[in-house]
Amino acid sequence: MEPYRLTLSQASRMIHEGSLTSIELLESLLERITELEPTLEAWVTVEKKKALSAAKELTKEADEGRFKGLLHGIPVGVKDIFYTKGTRTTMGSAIFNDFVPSYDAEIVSSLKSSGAIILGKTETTEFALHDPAPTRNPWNTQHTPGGSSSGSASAVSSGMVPLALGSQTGGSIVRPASYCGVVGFKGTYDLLSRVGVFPLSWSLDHVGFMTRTVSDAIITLKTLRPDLEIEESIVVPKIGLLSEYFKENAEDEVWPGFERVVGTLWGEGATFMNVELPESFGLVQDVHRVIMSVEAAAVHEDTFREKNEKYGEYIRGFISSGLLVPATAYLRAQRLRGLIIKDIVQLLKDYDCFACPSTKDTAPLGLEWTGSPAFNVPWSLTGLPSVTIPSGLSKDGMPLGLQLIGKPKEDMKLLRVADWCMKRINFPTEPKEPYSPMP
Amino acid sequence: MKDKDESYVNAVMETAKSLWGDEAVSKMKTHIEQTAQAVQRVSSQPLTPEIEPVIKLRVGAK
Repeated sequence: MEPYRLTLSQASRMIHEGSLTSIELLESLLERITELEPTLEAWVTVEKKKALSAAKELTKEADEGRFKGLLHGIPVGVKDIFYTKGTRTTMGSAIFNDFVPSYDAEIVSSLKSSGAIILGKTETTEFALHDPAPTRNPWNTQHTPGGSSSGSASAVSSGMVPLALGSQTGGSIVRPASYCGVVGFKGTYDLLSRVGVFPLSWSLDHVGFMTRTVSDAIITLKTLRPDLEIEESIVVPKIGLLSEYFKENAEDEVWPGFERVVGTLWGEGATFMNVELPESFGLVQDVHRVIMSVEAAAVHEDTFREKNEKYGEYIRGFISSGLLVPATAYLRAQRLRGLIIKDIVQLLKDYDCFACPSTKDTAPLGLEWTGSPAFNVPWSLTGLPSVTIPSGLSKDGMPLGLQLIGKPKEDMKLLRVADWCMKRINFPTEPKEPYSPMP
Repeated sequence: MKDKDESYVNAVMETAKSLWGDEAVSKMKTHIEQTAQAVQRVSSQPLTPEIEPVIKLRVGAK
């Protein structure tokens, strides 16, 4: 088997056993990038020389029986809003086109310490908002991969890299991961360090990652947060089923697809119970918009004044709208957010997790719009851990996702439940060969 | 939209025009309107001591 086809878990095991070297794995991924990048445009920068140098060193250590961790020799893609020492970091913006950080984001340092190889920087929408990246969806290159972690999702899905970092303020990990048929995880708020990650909205920004299997996600989280206990295997999960808002707003095949996967998991023994959303849930989208627009405006205020013309159309409007929000409205939104969190955490206490569709639609046609984060916003606002696993395909062959939401700080348990589900859904975990239909 | 909400959104639009001019604001109209509507709905939510019987922000957060 070509090494690029291996999942993170398989590659890690083989490197530790000595049946694969990190150089072999890296070279296979670099060939894959050379082949696919002209079509998918998932990367801003590929650090071929630095990565090969690191792989040689790590191979030497492995030959001597020395391993830094489970990610020893595993190449990783890093969304281009994470600072990387000595590697250009653009935030998807012309303003930072030549910016080279002098230090690594904390999570990048953690990855390096555990033996991971920084393969390069993946495309992001401008400042991780909505002005799109050039990246295409491997499941159909005429469709968006979603955003803002567009390059990470496309690269993991197509087998250019087995693991990539992302960030989420609204739906920027779960949505692109779902659109591209991969696993996307964002932890409890501040579970993973935001230090060295260019902010979009301080109190809403989450760090996370994408892989092709939940087992890979568990290894990654255990590496990044070794203090977290790995939960024992889930016998059968008890899942709260969220409908109402999600059913009303799901488009086309999303809700029927969700019901199908719920039926499959129910048939495997999972318990599902309908959950009535609290009244405060109706405020989620407005509260999120007020907080995010104000915080984004505060992040950009000075630069925006000086270089307004260098901002894309969407983010320019969004920042401008945030500059007009009264301080009292921002604080009221934060207070209401507290009540929403309290209500939802209270509802979660009787379940292992909640379930709902990952997105309201499948990946939209065209690259101009990266899709709606509406089904992810509640979990970014409340800071609850969430994960998407691929759960099926629409009639036109685009991936559907199952989103699971866990209790605060029970991230590992959430991944255990997701692992239980993914193993029963049996969605293919092979790298996706890009499909480009005739125009 | 209720009259009160509409007048608030209009007031925000007028403020935006006075700051950045008609042409610039015409390109940002949707964003400004959507955020102003969100502000209006958030601001109309009561937060009495019975509803929010604490004095710190983000009650349910860690």
